Amino acid sequence: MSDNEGLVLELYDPDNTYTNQKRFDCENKTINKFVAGSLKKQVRQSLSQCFVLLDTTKNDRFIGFYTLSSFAIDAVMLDALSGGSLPSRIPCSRLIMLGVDKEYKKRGLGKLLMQSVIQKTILAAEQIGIYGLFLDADNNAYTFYIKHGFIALQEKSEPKPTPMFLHIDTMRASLTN
Amino acid sequence: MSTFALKDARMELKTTHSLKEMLKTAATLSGQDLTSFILASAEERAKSVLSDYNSLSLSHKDQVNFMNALINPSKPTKALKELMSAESLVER
Repeated sequence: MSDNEGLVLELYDPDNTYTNQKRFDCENKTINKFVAGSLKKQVRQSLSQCFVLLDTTKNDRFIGFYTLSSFAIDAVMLDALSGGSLPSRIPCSRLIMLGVDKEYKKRGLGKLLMQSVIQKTILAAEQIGIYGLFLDADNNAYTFYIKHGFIALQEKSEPKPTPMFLHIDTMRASLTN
Repeated sequence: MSTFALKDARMELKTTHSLKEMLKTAATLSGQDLTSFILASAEERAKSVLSDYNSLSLSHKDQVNFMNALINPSKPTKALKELMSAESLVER
C-alpha cells in the first residue's frame, strides 16, 4: 500500500515527546484521554507495552497506537476437564487499546495495527508460553473480531464489552497459505 | 489492609455537600466512620480493577467451551488470512 508511505511503526518511548500526542483524536473519548494522560505513565510502569504509528512527513506525528500486556484466563476446572493436559491458568497476550487518528481513517490503518498485534503475539509465543490473544471487544468491533476467527469467552451482553480469544495455532496457520 | 497497619499516608478529597452527606449516611448505616467507609469501598473497587486487569475468571459452562476451543483451534478464516497477508506497516 503505497499510500502509507512515510508512516512508520515503532516501540513507544515514554521519554520521548511525540508531535500531537496530546491532541490525538480517534473519536473515542476514553482512548483519547488515555493517550493524552495515562499512556506515558502506564508504559513507564511496565503495565503495558505500546507501539506507536508515526507520520514522518509531519514531524513524526502520533497518528495511531496499540497497547499490549500479559494476561491470564483463569479456568480452574480446565486442568481436570482436560485430564491434566491444560493448566488452570491460560497465559495470553492482551490487546488493551488500539486507535487511529480520525484524519487518517479509511486507509485500513486500524487493520494493519491489528496485523502487527498478531505478529507481535506470535513472536512473543516463541519466547514464552502463551496460548493466544485476548481482548475485550466493544460492541461495534465484535463482528470484526468474529470474522477474523476470535471466539467469545462469555456470551455477548450489551452494553458490556465481550471477552474474546484467538488461538495461537490459528494465528500461526494464518501466515501460511 | 489490616486495621492495625500503620497509617502513614494522607489523602484529602474535595466533593459536594450532597455526596458527602450521602456517604456519611451510608457509613452510619453500615456502622463505620466516614473514613473507613470510603477507604473500604475504594479498596474493594481497586482490587476488582486490578484483578480484571491481570486476569479473567470463567464460569463452568464458559470453561468447557474454552477448553474445546483450546484443544481444537479453529482454522484461520478468510478474513484473517487476508489481514495477515496484507503489506505490513514499516517498522523502525
